[in-house]
Amino acid sequence: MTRPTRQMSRLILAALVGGVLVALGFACSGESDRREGSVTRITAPEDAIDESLMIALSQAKNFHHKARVYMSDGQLPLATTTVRQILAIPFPAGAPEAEDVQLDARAMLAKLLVAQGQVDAAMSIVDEGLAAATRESFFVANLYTVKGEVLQAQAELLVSTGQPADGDRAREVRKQAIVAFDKSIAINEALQKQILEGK
Amino acid sequence: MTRDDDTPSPMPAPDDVADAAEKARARAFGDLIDKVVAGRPPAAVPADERALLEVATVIRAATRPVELGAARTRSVVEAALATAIERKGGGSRLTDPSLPVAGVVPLARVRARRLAPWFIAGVTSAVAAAAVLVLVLRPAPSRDVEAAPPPVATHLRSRPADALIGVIARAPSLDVAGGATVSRIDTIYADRLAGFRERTLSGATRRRGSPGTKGGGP
Repeated sequence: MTRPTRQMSRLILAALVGGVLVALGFACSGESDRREGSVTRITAPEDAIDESLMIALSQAKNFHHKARVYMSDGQLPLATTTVRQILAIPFPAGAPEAEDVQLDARAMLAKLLVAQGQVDAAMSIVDEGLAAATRESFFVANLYTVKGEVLQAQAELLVSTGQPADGDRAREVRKQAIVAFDKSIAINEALQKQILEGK
Repeated sequence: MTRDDDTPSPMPAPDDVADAAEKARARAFGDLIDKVVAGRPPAAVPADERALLEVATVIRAATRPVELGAARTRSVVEAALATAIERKGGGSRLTDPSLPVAGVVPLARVRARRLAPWFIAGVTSAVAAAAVLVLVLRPAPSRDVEAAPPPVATHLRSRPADALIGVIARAPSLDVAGGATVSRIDTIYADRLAGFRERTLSGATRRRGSPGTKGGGP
């Protein structure tokens, strides 16, 4: 009675071990197949308008509207803070709209700072924007225009001191303002020509 | 005194020293045993010596194990098993060896049962090894072929807003500048939203509206 029982136990054990080995072998194979997935995959174009771009634009739009409300209420510091938040919006990498929207926000921010007498801070905002620009655009041209306005404001501040040296310095700043306005005009003309030729 | 004499020889005492005649008889009996053991028994043996000789043979067989050849051993075992089967089956089974006998397992089946686990383990291991080998040795599938994305219409792409906005005029006041800035971001957002809706909700088949249109509301 003992011998057949032992034989049967060996038989079952061998079948179990074999079954486990077979299952493992096919499981490895199946897992590999699943990992590799489909061979052909159609990718979405990276430059297509997507949800992340729309979210970023929506945020910028809301901040501008909010700042507009503050401005209409005369609360320029709050409007400034609100517009500054647009510069921190995460846009999709490489989205051209990101540069356009941020340049426009810098232009508005510089105007707000000038209106509050913070001319140097306004100039920093403008210069940072121009340095970060990767291409010429109407927004870059607008920022050069704002730069000219900031320089004009600087010149007026210098004149208001009444010092002769500041008068010379004011003339120099006005020349820089003219250079900035000219740069803006040149960019606008080039872009308009380019657009017209493209049509 | 000789063994041919009919007169019985006097029985010596156990502790007596053997005389020459007794030693000669013992030596002759020893030679006789050697011949019998060597397979060369004499043709005639006296009756009293034959009895002694049988006793000596029995004693030798009892003290030394009998070693049989392989063929002899097999035939003895087969004969014993046949006897057992015959007894179990009532004596008539040996006439037809193919008939199964209750409680008796043929040697071939016993051998098969003993080898069955190893056979199953071997087969399943071979199958598993084959599966692993197929996995390892099969040609690597071509990596994901990223099909070129279908061409996307310009108005469905992320792109510069210059063509949409145009030249930005200098604002005469902060208030006007604020209003113009809001108007620009509204225009950009509406245009991109129209493209996003067309692409995701209606597919890329619908044509865009006229260029003058700024798109739907947010």
